[in-house]
Amino acid sequence: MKRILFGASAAALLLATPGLAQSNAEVMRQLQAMQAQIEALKAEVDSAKAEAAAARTQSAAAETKVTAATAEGGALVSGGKTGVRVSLSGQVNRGVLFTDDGDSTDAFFVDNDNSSTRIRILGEADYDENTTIGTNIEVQFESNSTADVNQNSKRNVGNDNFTQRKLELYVDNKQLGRLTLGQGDTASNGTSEQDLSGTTVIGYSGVTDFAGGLFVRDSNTNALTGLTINKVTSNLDGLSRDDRIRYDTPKFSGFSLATSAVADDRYDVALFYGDRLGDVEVRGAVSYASASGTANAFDIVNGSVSALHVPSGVSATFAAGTRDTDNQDNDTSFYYGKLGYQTNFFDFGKTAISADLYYGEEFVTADDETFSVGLQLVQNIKKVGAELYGGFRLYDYDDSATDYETLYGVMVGARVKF
Amino acid sequence: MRKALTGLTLVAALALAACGRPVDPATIGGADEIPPGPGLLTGPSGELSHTF
Repeated sequence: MKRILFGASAAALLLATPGLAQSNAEVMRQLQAMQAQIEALKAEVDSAKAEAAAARTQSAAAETKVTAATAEGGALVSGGKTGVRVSLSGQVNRGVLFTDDGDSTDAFFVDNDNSSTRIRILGEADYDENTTIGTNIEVQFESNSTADVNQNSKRNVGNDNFTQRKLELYVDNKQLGRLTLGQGDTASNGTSEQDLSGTTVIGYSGVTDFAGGLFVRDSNTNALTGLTINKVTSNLDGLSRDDRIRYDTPKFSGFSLATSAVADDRYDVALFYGDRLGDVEVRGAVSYASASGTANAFDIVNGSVSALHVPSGVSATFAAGTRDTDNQDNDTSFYYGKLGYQTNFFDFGKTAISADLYYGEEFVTADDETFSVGLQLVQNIKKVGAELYGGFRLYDYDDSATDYETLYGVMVGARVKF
Repeated sequence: MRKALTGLTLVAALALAACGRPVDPATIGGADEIPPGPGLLTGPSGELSHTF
């Protein structure tokens, strides 16, 4: 009752004194403004606290991820998908090429075009237990390639950048086979190059690669001709690599079939074989390729087979092919044979030696012939993924109009895989 | 003389074959391909491989 009387008296007093009431109203407004500011500050503090807590959580998660990745020896990177396998591989293949063209001798520091310097990035993911999706990027970088250096250009020869080899994606199914789209091997590529000698890094049916850029010299005038080894030799290895769509069947008893289609009415089909017959490992291929959409349309039939007697290490390889070009009288052809021997003399890696013969005809004119003989030695050092090699090759080109000098080459070098 | 040389060559070839141990065909790479097996930086798989 006392409180009610006191409140009523205070109200009456306030109403009775307008100046005092106005002052109190001002104080109330200030108090309300201060209250609003305090609430705003409190909200900001709460927000900052929440952000700090979130940051601490993220930091802890990142630290856990880094620790786990480091513990398993993995790279400190993350992928957008799980279960994707990424592989990096490549090789550096450098050598010294000594040549004698019948008049002058030269030494070149080269990238060995038998198997150029390159890198490869392969990505794969399993869609299910039978199906794999994959990507393949393989590019080469050749400085002073043996395909390019010659008597007039001995240094800084070739593209100063990466050049494409394979840029493709594929779907691989165990029952249905593989479908590939992009830049890569056509079905016929490699069908002249089945070789189990273990010496392909320095010599195989593509004898051009040893010293393809060199000019052949005219014996009578002693001048260099416009003919290079690239022009007078070939292993007619189908349609090479190209932008194509390709299909490969699964293997049936060692056999598989492949076909591919390229622009300009180019297509091919190839049959491959690879299996072990008792003590003999066998690989072989044969193909038909057609290119009819451009001038100088042609057909190629070619193949190769290689057999290795595993207990003895003796191998034999044979390849041949012919190209029929429209509007030309000459049917270009080649034959190639190789005998090899490889064994593990040393614990650090196998040793392989071989000798080969090559004969080609009608590459430039209707009556020309190219003959080549080669010797190869390769010593593997498996602990560091290296091959040390040495090779010799002789080229002899002839036609009815001109006499040409025989060209000799010796190459030593190393291929190191990383 | 020719027979002697042929005989010597055959004996040398046999002796050579007897010295080594057979190779594994799976270690033989294709022409113009990166060879199979380990590399300078890699293990038996032959590739720097990571599964995400």
